[in-house]
Amino acid sequence: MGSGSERNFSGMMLTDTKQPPFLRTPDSTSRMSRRFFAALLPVLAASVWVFRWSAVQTFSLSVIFCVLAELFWSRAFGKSFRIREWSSATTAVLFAFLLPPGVSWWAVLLGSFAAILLGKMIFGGLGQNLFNPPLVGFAVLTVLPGFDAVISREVLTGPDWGSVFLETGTGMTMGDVSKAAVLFGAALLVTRRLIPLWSPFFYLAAFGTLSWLFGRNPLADLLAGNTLLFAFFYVTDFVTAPVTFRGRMIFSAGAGALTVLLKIGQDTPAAGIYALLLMNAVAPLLDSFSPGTVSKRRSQPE
Amino acid sequence: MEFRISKQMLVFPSPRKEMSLLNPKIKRARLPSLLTLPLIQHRGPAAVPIVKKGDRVLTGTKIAEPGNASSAAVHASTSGTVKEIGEFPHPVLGKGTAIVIEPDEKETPDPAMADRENTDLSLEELSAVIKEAGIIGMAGGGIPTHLKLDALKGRSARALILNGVEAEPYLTSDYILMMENILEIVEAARLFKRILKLPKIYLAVGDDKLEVVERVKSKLFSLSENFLEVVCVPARYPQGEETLLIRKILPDFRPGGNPAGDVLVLNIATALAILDAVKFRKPLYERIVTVTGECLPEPKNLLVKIGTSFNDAVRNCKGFLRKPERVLMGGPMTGVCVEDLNAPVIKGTQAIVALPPEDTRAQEVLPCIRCGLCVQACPSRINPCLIALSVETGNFDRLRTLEPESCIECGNCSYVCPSKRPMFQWVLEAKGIFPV
Repeated sequence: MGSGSERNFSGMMLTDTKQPPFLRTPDSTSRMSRRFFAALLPVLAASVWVFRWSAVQTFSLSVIFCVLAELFWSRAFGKSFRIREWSSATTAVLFAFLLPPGVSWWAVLLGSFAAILLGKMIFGGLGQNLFNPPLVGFAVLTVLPGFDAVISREVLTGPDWGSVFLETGTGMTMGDVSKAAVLFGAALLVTRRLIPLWSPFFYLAAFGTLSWLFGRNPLADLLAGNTLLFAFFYVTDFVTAPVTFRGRMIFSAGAGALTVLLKIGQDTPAAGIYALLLMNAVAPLLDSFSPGTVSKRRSQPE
Repeated sequence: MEFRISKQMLVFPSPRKEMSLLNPKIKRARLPSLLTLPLIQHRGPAAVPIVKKGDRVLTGTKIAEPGNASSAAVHASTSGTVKEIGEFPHPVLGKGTAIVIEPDEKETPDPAMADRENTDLSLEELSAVIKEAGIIGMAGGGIPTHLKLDALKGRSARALILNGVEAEPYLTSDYILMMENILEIVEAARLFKRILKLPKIYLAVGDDKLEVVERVKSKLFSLSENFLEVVCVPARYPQGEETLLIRKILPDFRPGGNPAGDVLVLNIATALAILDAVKFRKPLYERIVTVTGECLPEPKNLLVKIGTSFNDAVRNCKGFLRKPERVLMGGPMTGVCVEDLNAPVIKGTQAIVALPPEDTRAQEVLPCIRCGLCVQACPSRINPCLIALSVETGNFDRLRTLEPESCIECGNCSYVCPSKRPMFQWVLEAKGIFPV
């Protein structure tokens, strides 16, 4: 335990109010998670509008299983259970976005437990995880034999302007239904200062540029599938990204570029997921590349 | 190539300055029944008393000599008798040796405080006058001011910046002081210009104090002088910090400190105290203190004699409206928590801030979520997030590469942290491991 803090009777660490600064920002981790969750609601509402009961079913199952998984872990290892941080609910919704509606309950169960336990809890809980938890949940589903058919879906081709607002094809996942809803949620994130605009910008710019260089249709690629959703809701997760500006820039652009490269190998919607998981793995390395300091040695007089 | 993250994600502390400006004049505080003058009011070794119990002193009489070259003298702030020399409450140290004076309420000035006819001093003479008058950095830094001049070591100064930015929340003492002493500011600048042989002097004022800018400019215009350049800087904390101010005003200056020491930054209150010392041989025995906070019915700026206890100073504002959770010496970002309100106002007491419980309640410290807000908020452009994690895990090799010694101790990292982590204390700990 570091200096400047004390523990209260229940073992919680408290701020030391006798040490400067005596004023603290009104923002808090739980408020930020609540706001992030609120920004997911437009996409969630759109997919419930399209898929009706089956979407409600998948979302609620996912939330229930994720909260249960976190409860299970905190009971088993005596950690304090922090439901008011909304982090497991956010993970649950982000995981459900990757699934087709009405997917069988055991797939949701397995994915949710993998997302919370393998994706977050074994690293030490909120803020300590190396990989984006919903993506871990999905990746576990794809590698298990027999699950591939459950979650696989068609690749959409060509921008269809009507479909930007509401798509109702077969083989859709719940997060892909409305690009307009994604953009509305993204606007909420940006205006409420939860994500900086440049992070999705670098992702989309790298994605579009590389897609164009490889002779694909960049506009089709950008509007197809889950690219926009990824740019605003998954790439911007700061727990699994570097903390410095330079690091985050490389991280976002790298994830975008890698997605295109994986798409060329095999055009699957899971390309974005694997690209981001790979970049998550190198995020700590990117941090040490760019310590973000103005070197004192450089500033010394000759 | 340098990248700078935009500040759009950050929430800055609200200024909360309006409450102490409802009384827009400096009020003289009532003379208390006892004055406690600590021997350590500066950063450096203690002063040595030259009076003993029962001695009669006058206003401005020197009662303690500087202990050595980097110490500062202490003067009686009113006429009276020395009642005691012993251990008394100290606002920063908790306890400290102090000289207690019982005022005779006559306020007889010491004859040594005679006007100086010839104010045409050399740099060495100015340094001696400052040392004699016991002047220290009055914005809370507390470094004896003559040390700054001595650091020039005979070289000529490259620039002098008079610092009236005062970006920290609650504080208005410099603003009020400047509003009431426009001519003195120009005079002080003229004095420094002549002694330091500089073509012009900079006056940095926060952009929330445009009245001061206007008044100084119109005064300069009516005097047809142009040696004082008034620079309006953003009044966003921590802009008033020395290295940041130098970087802002002299953009060609190398960032990362003031290694050559040839750019002088003087707080405006310190500069006016030096002017008084040069013109009237008046030592530093009183200062303007912002007495403010949500717990006070009548926040104001008081002219307080050094040695007045916090309780006595607060009584001038009709006491506490409700019990304050924390009483601070200085602003809420860099101030010190004062436990015993019998501790006296010292030379570096810029403000007495009584914070209400709703601002100071203890909050739960949560794990770092790597949001990077502290990295964006850091004016030194170091990485408090990684520094804190390295301190926690004891990774000293990593810590060395993160350059914690560049920290200017503004406290922004702790302020913005949504997990309420004590970032500032961790960075200070790291700074202590690798001293400059």
